[in-house]
Amino acid sequence: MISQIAISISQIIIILALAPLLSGIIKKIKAFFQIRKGPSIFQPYYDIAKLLRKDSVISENVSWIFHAAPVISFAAVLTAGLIVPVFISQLPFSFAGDLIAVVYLFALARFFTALASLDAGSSFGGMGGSREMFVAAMVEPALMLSIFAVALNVGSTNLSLISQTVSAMGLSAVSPYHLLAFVALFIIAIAETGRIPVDNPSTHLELTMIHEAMILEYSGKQLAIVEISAMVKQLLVFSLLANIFFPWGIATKISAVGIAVALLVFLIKIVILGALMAMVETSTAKWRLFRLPDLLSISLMLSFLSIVSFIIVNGG
Amino acid sequence: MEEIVFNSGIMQLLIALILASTFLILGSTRLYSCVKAFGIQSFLLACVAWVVGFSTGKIDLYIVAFLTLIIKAAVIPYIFIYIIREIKVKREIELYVGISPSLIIGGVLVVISYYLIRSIAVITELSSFALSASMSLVSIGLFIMISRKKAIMQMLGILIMENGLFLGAISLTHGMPLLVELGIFFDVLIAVLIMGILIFRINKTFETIDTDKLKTLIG
Amino acid sequence: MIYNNIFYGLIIFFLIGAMLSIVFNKKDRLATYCSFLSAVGASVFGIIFSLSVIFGETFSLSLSGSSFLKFGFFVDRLSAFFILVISVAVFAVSIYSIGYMREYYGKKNIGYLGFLYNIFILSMILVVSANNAIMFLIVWQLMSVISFFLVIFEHEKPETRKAGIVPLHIWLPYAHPAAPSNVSALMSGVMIKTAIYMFIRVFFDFLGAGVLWWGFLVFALGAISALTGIMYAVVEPDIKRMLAFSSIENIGIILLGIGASMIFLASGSPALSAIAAIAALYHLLNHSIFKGLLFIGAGSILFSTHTKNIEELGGLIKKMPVMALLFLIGVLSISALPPFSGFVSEWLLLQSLLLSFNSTDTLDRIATDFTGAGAFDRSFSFGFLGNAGMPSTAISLSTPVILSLILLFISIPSVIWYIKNINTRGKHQVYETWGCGQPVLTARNEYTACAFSKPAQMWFKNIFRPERELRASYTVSPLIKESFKFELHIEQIFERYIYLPVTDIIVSRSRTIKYIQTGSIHAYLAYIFGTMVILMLYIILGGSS
Repeated sequence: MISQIAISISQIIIILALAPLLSGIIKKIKAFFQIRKGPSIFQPYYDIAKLLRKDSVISENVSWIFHAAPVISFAAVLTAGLIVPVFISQLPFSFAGDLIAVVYLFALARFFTALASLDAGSSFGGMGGSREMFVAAMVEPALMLSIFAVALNVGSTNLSLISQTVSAMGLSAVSPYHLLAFVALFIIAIAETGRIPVDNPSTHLELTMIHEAMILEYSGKQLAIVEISAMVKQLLVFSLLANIFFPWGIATKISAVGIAVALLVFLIKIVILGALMAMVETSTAKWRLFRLPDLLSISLMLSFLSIVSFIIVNGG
Repeated sequence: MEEIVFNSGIMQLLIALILASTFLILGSTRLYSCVKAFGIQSFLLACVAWVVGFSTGKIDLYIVAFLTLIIKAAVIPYIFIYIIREIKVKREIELYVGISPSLIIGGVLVVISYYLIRSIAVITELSSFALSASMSLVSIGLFIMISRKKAIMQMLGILIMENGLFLGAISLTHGMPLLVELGIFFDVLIAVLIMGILIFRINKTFETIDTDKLKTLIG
Repeated sequence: MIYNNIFYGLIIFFLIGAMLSIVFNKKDRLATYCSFLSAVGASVFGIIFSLSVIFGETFSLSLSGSSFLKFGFFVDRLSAFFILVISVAVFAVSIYSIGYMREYYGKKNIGYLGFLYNIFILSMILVVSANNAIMFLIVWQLMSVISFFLVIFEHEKPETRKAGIVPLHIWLPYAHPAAPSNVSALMSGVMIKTAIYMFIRVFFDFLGAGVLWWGFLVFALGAISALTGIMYAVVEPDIKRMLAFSSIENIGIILLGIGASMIFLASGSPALSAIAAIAALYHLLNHSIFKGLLFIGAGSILFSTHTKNIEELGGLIKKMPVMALLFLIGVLSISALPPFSGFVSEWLLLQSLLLSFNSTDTLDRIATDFTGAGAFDRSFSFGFLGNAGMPSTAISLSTPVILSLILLFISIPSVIWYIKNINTRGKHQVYETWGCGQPVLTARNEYTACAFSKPAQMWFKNIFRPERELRASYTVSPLIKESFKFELHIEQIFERYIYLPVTDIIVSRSRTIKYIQTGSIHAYLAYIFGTMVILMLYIILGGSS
């Protein structure tokens, strides 16, 4: 019982601690590809620390939604953090939620951010919210189908079970449907984390921004919470990718050595994924909003192919 | 021997990737990326030939794989890029059918080909995967020819269909006699050259390679 | 016996309500209290009755009638479930109505409305508890006729009336919003569910879900309904019509579940079938509650702002904070977001669809859960809301419920703590929102609902076929506009491409047929004679061959 609670708490702490680091690492790798020096990988920590010390300026038009939204989003993302395997596959709360629940929790976070974006009455906020919801409407069917593909492969939507099964299968788990589903989910991860072909996390250009436009009215501590939840969400999406498709090295039992190794392996995995993401970001340009459905229908088709090839290969 | 080849994961992987590359062609709006995806597809096809050759021990399959690599994955894409550069065509594909509907139609075609192949009693499960992939390639190639306006895309469609037939042949019969294969390669190369010249002529006459404009030739 | 009394009590309460409101026709306040309080009382009886049937035994009551046609009532667990749904919704809506009716004092005949309201609910309850097809059809017709009167109560224009399944749905977005808000809450939340009831009865009890393609057909219809409904809801500016479109979507989702259940039953996996059906019924219950809530909310908005147009609304959270919170809960629930009930039912539905492809051992486990507790034959197929299905339903429901609890456990204290802190410490500065360089930020700077749904509308322009009209008048420079008018109309694709052509054809055919309507009695007699001769010839020829 105590070990279970310890696992849950340590998982939350590790997620909170690693999330800004991942952001910093991706920025650094991106800078490397763009032949810049780039900020230190600890910059996001400094940013958040600074924001937490600052006072905030709040619009006079806002209601309680504006104040509550960052906290609710953060809570939703942290709840998802309880059921996404990070370093150990046997999570105490794994029975409480599965892959679908994670999707809905992310949707809840997004819903409240979009709601808050409308609250201040600024037209930028509305623009961001509108775009975010449009992208979400395209992402969610694709995400559902890719989950379907993953669940088909393993026979369950329970995340702990998925990562356990796949890691027990070893290298024989690599199959065409496995890879296709991975690519499909990777495309969705780009959209979910707001990265380049979909959204540009590093600009405040009104013509293109989506997520940044939504949180434009936030400042100080509230902005810090919004930023942290975006980072945590990013880390969770990455650990989903890592631990659904390549869970090898994850600790299956509670042991000090196993967990230490698992943490190290996890770090390596997310750095590799981050490098991949940075490569994609550097090599493509931001797409026009109305071309995004095309990108997501590619993801949709890949999941579909994954399902079809699973059925064909396993003799449907 | 055959079973070992066909149940190996690597074959499945290659075939799935070939399918995925076809969807890459369907899903991109740039000529260059289409040509690149075609190059990747041909490269994967060469890998398939090499794997089949490796497991059946037929030397001539190595030659076929090598030829595929040279001609389809290198020379033909180069010719394409040369044409695109020379006639300074707009790099965007013009479509009759939008990207998302095209992708959906592609998916439907894959399912249809799977059911078609399943209705024919085939030998093994994996060859049914390969066969349905080859069937899908043929039908998607045809669809690309129908739905894209640029003459270059019609060429690409034909080549995708040819790749599909090649995949089917290799997975069913482990490759046709070397002489036939050589003939086909020669054919394809000459066809590409001729079509390339034709495109130049079309471009010269109509100032465009939009095949829509060929309608004006009537009467 | 006690059942009988409760059931009679329920009917009598409705009848009393109807009577009293007619009696106190002239006194608005009294009529309101009489009719809606008795509806509240009746719904309490309904809840008790349905719960006791669900956890107890099947109820049947036969009135007089020959042995050939026994008119009477038969309430099994399925019917009781629907009575429960109706009663819960009626309970809430009736209490709300007492306040809401103030809007109509002195303007409309409230006694008449109260009469219709009570009879309407009674007819719905009778529809789901009728014991034979003829009785069912009679009360069904009664329900339809009364709903028609309710719809025209507010506007004297008839917007006609049945289940909101695409392509039979086009009446729904017109009819429901036209009624008073409390009645639209019942119509959209509950009345369309009686159609689902009929559907389940016919397919599972009368016909037996034996054929696979029926299931697929229902599934496909459900999917199309869900998609079309939500797409039109996204771009609809009238808040009540938007809710009606969303009802179409939710009926679609329920049908998806029922279709899946039929498919599973026909392909021989009763356990999956049961899960899908539970998901569908659970979603039905949820939908009736949150749709009722949302319609009531829309009614309050209408009450205090006198507009249903979303474009004209704004800043209501300041004026009606409690309403805003409740509306938000309804919206979260309808969007299937945790921690509200919509999430649970949609999660269950998705699980049942996913499970269908799953490995068999999970299936077996669930199947033994189900079959171990009771026999799973066809007659039982929808009785599983009772004891037999309970344990496994509880197991499968526990996951999303626990998740939601965790979420609440984390978020509520933190929100409260946070808002308290923000207010007490006062470490923030209040300043106006940047108005994009305009001197003052007005409501015109804000993003409108139309603008918000614009990307979706543009992307699906082939389906919506929007007709836009842009009129601008300029001052000296074309860059500075004096006034700007933008109009947008969305085409109802089913109406345009299915209904209008069909009516056109019928009308034009009728015109041609008109020529044989000479108006002369002799001619009509001649037609009858001709028909008779043809029939005789047919019999003769048929006999010879």
